[in-house]
Amino acid sequence: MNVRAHVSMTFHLDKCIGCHTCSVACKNLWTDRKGTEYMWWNNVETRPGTGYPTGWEDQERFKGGWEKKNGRLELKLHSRARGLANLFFNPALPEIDDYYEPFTFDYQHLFNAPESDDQPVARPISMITGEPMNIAAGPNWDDDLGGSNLYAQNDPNWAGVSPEIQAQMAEIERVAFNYLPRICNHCLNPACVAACPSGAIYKRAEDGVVLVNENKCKGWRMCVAACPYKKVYYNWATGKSEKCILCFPRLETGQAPACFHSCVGRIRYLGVILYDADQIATAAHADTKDLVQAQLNAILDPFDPTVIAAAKENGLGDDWIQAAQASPVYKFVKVWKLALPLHPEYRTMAMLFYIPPLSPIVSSIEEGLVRLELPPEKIDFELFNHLEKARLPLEYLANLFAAGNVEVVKPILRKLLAVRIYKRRQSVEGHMDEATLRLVEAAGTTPEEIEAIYQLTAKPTLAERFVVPPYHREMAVEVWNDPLAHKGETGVGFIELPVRGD
Amino acid sequence: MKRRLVGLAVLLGLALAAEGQQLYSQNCAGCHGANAQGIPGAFPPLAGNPRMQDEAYVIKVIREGISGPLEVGGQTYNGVMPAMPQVSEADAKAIAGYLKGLGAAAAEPAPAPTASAPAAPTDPALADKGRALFLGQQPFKNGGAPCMACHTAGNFGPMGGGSLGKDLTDLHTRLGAAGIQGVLSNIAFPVMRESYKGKPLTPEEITALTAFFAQTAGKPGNTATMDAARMLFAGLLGLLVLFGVMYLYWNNRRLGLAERIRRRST
Repeated sequence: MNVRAHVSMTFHLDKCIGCHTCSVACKNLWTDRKGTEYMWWNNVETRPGTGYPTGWEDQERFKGGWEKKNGRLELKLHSRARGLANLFFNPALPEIDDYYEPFTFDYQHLFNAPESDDQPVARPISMITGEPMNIAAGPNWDDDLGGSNLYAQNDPNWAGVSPEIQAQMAEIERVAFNYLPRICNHCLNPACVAACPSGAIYKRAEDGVVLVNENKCKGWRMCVAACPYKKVYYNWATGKSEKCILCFPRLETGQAPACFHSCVGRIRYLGVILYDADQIATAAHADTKDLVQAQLNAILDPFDPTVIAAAKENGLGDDWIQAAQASPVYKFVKVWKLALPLHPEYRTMAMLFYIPPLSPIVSSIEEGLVRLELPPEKIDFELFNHLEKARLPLEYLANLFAAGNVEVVKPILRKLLAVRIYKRRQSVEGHMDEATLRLVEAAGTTPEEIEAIYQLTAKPTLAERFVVPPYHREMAVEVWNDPLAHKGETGVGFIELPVRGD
Repeated sequence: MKRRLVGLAVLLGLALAAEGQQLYSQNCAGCHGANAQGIPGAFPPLAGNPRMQDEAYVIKVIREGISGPLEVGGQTYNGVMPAMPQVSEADAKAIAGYLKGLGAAAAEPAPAPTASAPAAPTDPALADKGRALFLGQQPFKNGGAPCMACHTAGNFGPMGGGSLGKDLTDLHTRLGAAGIQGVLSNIAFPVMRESYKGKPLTPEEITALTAFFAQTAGKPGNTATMDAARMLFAGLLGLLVLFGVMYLYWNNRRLGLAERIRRRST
């Protein structure tokens, strides 16, 4: 057993309201520099939809992630020989139009315009060329367009969903959608790291954050193509690749990353997970239907004495083990088994886990009245046994979170429904009945577990949502700087001293 | 005792002179001839050359080389003698002593090659072998680099020969057969010397190359303008074909999903 620690994440999609506050927090903090205008290290997509960059899940086009060939894992992007042949032009790379042309507005014109009969306007200006432009796309261009025949219809996750249901989803009365916030998954088996010819991308040993070394990056952009989530971006001004750094300067000072901290719906949880590095290879090679379970198997129980002993042997301190024991991510992913990685079939073993969303019941309008396809009394009970009546098709969610395996998603939705039904009965009706308790049992849970899930879902404190382990930077800093001087300059000190006259 | 010393000195002097002769044939005879008679028009004679009496001058010329116009025996030479720092000061002194000893006993000069007249008829087969050696189609026996690595001679077609070294088209006119054989049997030019160190050319190879140079000498050199024009024309044609192929692919390239959606929506 080779125990390592990973600062991991859980997003509770049922709580996401699609406000993009996370994206804006990230943009203001990290990607408001020249060359990064088009980058959204954090973005929020509407599902069903095509996302950002447009159609990023179409790996026949973008060639991201891993592929199992003859029992061996290989980059879908290219073999070594093909990589060499495509060195100077890689057809799998997304173009700026696959993202969008970033724009601002000519606000100065509002103040400087000469007197005329019409009100002056601020025209959109391209942030790449500086010329006036017509806005044709944006990072969330299909926001809330769940039933759109342009965007939702082109979602690759419809694979396996019957055409009738797809047609239903396009009807205005039956439209359903949910939001999917995405950041770098900080994968256990990252394809971007494997694809980099310069060895510039690495996974930080202490917390598993995947970073690009800007000094070593030579701008080959193979990481951009190899990442199946398209979460590495090329900065056209510096000629280097950049990606989400999980706000490691904030983590190191005990704060949650900016997108986590600013989240309005409080959907985001952050905590340490202990995993067995020896199991990564087996888990990444697992059969498609077993991928999720294999990945969960690699996550270890931080209360197990043998795991603790092995962790200490690998140099993990007591405080990190305690952080792992208090980790909300561990609870959601491993104890309650509610969270799943996005697109496990890419075999990168994403360490960001999503709790899939519940959706309303299919309904139709007859003579101006809404008619549900389930009897209106005890709707929740009915839905519990007829998950196929939920508006978001199970197959669709399974394509997103379980490599198409519906059996992985179903128990999670049933458990989420059980929590909802139990708590509603308890708080609205004030007493529990036999039927509810039977339903709780059928969902494979207990009233105690439901109470715990409810507490962490609905009423968690900041300290419960973000269990940031102590990084002891004040000690590490001593190697190169006076800790007291460093304390005052976190994030704004000089790593490379400026040269006078340069 | 005294007689013994004198005898020793005489012996030493003889030994020095003998050593000087040996060193001369190793380092100088290639160009200046076995008997220091020189090659008129190419390499000045050393025997009977009054400059040879100035030992310091001779040593300086051997070690540092000499170039520019030089008049010897009523004939003007305008060549380049490379510096030979590999000949030690002492050896140079021995050579100078030997040359001084030759005195005015002028050796019979070799007949001058008739510069303007076409080269003497040579065996075409031998010349072909020389051409093959020059081009590297046939390797040198001792592994020396083919001449074309640096030189060109005559007309080798559009790409021509090497341009690093001197154009050797009129080598036979300049040096004559004896001069070429001398230069090649004992290579003195610094870069060539290093390239062919331990890989000397065999006498047969030298003969063949000489025959080849005799063949090239009479003919015009490469037709550079014509070749350049031909290359330019072929290049332009290739460029047009390339653009044509690119145009076909460009029109049929697959549009991204984003672009397809944009086109559908407008």
